[in-house]
Amino acid sequence: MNNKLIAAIIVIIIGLIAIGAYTVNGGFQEKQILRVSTTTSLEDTGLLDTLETAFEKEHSNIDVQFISAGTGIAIKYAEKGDADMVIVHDKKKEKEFIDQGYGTKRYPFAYNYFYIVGPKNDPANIKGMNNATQVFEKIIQAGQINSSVKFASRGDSSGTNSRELKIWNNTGANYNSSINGSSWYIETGKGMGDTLTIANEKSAYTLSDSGTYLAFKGNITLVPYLTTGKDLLNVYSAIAVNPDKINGVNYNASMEFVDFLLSTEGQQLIGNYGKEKYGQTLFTPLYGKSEPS
Amino acid sequence: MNILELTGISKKYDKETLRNLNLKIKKGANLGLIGPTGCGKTTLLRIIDLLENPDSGKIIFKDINVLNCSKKDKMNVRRKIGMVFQKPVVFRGTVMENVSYGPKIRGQDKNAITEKIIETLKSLGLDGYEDRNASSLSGGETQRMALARVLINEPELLVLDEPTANLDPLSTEKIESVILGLKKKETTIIMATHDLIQGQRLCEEIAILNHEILQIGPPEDVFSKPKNRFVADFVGVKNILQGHAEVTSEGLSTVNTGSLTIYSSESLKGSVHVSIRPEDITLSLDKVKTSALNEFKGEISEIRKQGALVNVKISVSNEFFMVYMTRKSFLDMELTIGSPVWIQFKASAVHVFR
Amino acid sequence: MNEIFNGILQAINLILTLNPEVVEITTRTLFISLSATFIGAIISIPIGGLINFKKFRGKRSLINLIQTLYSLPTVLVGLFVFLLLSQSGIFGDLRLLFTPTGMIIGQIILIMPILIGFTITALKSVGNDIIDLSISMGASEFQAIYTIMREAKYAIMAAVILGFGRAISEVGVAIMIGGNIRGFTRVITTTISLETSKGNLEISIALGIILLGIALIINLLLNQIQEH
Repeated sequence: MNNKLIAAIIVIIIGLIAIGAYTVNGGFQEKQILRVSTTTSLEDTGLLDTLETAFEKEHSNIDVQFISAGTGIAIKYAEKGDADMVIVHDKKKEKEFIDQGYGTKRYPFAYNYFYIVGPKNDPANIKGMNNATQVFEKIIQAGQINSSVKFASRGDSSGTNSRELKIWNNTGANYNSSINGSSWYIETGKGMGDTLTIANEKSAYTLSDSGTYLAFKGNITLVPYLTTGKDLLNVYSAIAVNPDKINGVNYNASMEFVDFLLSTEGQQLIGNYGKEKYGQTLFTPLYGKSEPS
Repeated sequence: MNILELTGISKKYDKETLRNLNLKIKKGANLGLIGPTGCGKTTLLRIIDLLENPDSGKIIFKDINVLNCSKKDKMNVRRKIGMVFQKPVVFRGTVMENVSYGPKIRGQDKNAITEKIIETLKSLGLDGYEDRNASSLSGGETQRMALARVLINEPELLVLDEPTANLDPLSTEKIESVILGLKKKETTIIMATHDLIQGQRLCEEIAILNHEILQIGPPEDVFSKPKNRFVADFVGVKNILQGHAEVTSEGLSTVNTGSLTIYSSESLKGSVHVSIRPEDITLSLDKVKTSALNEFKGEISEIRKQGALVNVKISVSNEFFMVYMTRKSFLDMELTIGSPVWIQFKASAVHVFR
Repeated sequence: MNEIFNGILQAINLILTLNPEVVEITTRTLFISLSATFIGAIISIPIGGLINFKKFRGKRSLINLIQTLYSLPTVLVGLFVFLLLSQSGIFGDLRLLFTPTGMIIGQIILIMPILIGFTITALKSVGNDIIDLSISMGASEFQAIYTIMREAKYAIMAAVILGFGRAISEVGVAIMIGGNIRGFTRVITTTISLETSKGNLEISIALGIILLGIALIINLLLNQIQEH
């Protein structure tokens, strides 16, 4: 091989590395980094990108970075101090987070509803029901006698999964003996998109956040059966990591972002989001009111 | 001055390859190392080149005890020795890069010696080869390059392991002429070869090696006066007889083979071998008046034509003698198998050894 | 089938029009993996040389261990480095988690066994006769080692290219250490994973084509080298 060619390749490599190093350092600017750990379902809606752009316009010295994972993992990141704040939708876990001293205060800022979706032909006959717990009861009964009735669960400690488990518990059935491991119950261990795809393949019912369902609607044949009700209420909250408990977290930037979320501008952005991408809005901002019960 | 002294060198792999070997080499000497396959030639050369350590013994190069010196001193000694291996070895790159390896590691400026390199290559018939890829060379060209690679560093001791074995005639001729040319440079040369004729032609002294040095001396001595049976057989001495020798009054010895008594002008007592060169034996149909002390009657047992000569084997009592004669003489005497003849040879032609 | 075909068409469009997101992700991928390979090589080649040339107890076992680590699952390396770099870990104060620098470190650790191991193999395969020749010509220890490395030059280059191939095509380390942050730590493999699960096939296919292209170039380079 030509020596000149080798030299040229090495120069290109060094060039790329140099460019990379430059950009990684934000072009030699000293920006603070705000790390927000959040849920995949929220990030996938695209809302966070919109909020980030608007926020960074007014706070040019802060670089907001979103790390998305299941709710459980997002909270774990915060507990370890690898994130400065969390935005999740699991009230129970959020309360634990604060009780254990990891978080300062819980700031709910918007809500929507989970959807119960399922195959068009409705083998469990849940159409028209308006109570999520009753729907789940019906699915248990139907699943035990009708082999074409199936339910797909995420099984991944996400906020959606936590809600699903809560509703199963409300039915009074014993999760471990009548649900988990039954032939009609499919645990995918995956995110919402993959779970919807699997549910679609297997003509199964599933619980989904509204955003992901609407994004996938065009590609799947599952239809929504229940989209409101106390059991399906999905509240999003932001919590800053407690700087007294965890070293090195950027508490000030976190609070600036929380303020932004709760500001009129932020709330309006949240309330209007979704029309372009989904044909409808996805979130109802709280505008300072307490969450619905 | 001795440039190299080996004392008590032993080396064992599975079997004993070198056994208490002693060798002293004078500066400027030109030594050929000859021996049968497996005699330890290559091992000895590798030890001389300091590539391997002997199991025991001492090596003194000029005045440095090589086995007991610092790494740096050893490296400097290596730089004064140049070796060409039996199998050609090549570095990646061009011929020029190969030949300039020595100067490069010695920190010499490559440009300064480029002239010299080209000269050296030319003397080996490799002019114009500088930029050729070294691995594309033929066997003979590679060996010539290897010799150039070593000569450019002006070694004080040159070690060559069968340098022309299996090479084409041109390469052989070039390499031999360069070796001969080194005589005037006072380079000490040790060369291993299995070709007796080449050894005789190129070297001032020959050493016969079989795990130890069996005989060392000028070629004529080694070839016509072998010191022991092994050397005699190896160099192809003919007419070897065994017997018991006793010294007589006149400074002669008589060797009794059991069936013959042979006179020799060399004196050695006891159980010995004798050898007589075929060229030193004369043949006649009748007994002649001769000053030769040895005269025997025998008959022709074998006749072999060898070009212009005829090889005649004569049986005398229980012994056999090989004699050369011209075809003309052979025809003139009208000899056949069984012809009775007389053979004669001088006592001085009888070489006695153990 | 139609969907895939459409996806491919749109993907080609994204590539040809130099779609900014595709370009950004590709550049970042190259930056991270090239840096990891470059730094990894600088560290690993001398280590390989040392292990190969020095005699010491347990050398055989060490080399066996290195070879076992060739196919270390990327998620294991990812987990290991994650625990080190996490805020609550030993190097937490460096705040390297969820940064490209952290990913580079992770990939370096991932490919070091390959770089070291193959360097050792390359050096070992330099014939004894070459080593003899260098020493016979009076090379110092250092000079002899340099000569052997030069002889093994192409084999070592092949090892480096192989290391790069592994770095650029892995997911485990990139996603665990990088966090797949948009605009900051997303690389080709993690983006394909994410966008596919979101149903955005076009960008996944586009990045897939690019990754295949890079793999092709790597293969061509390797072939060129093997000819020597």
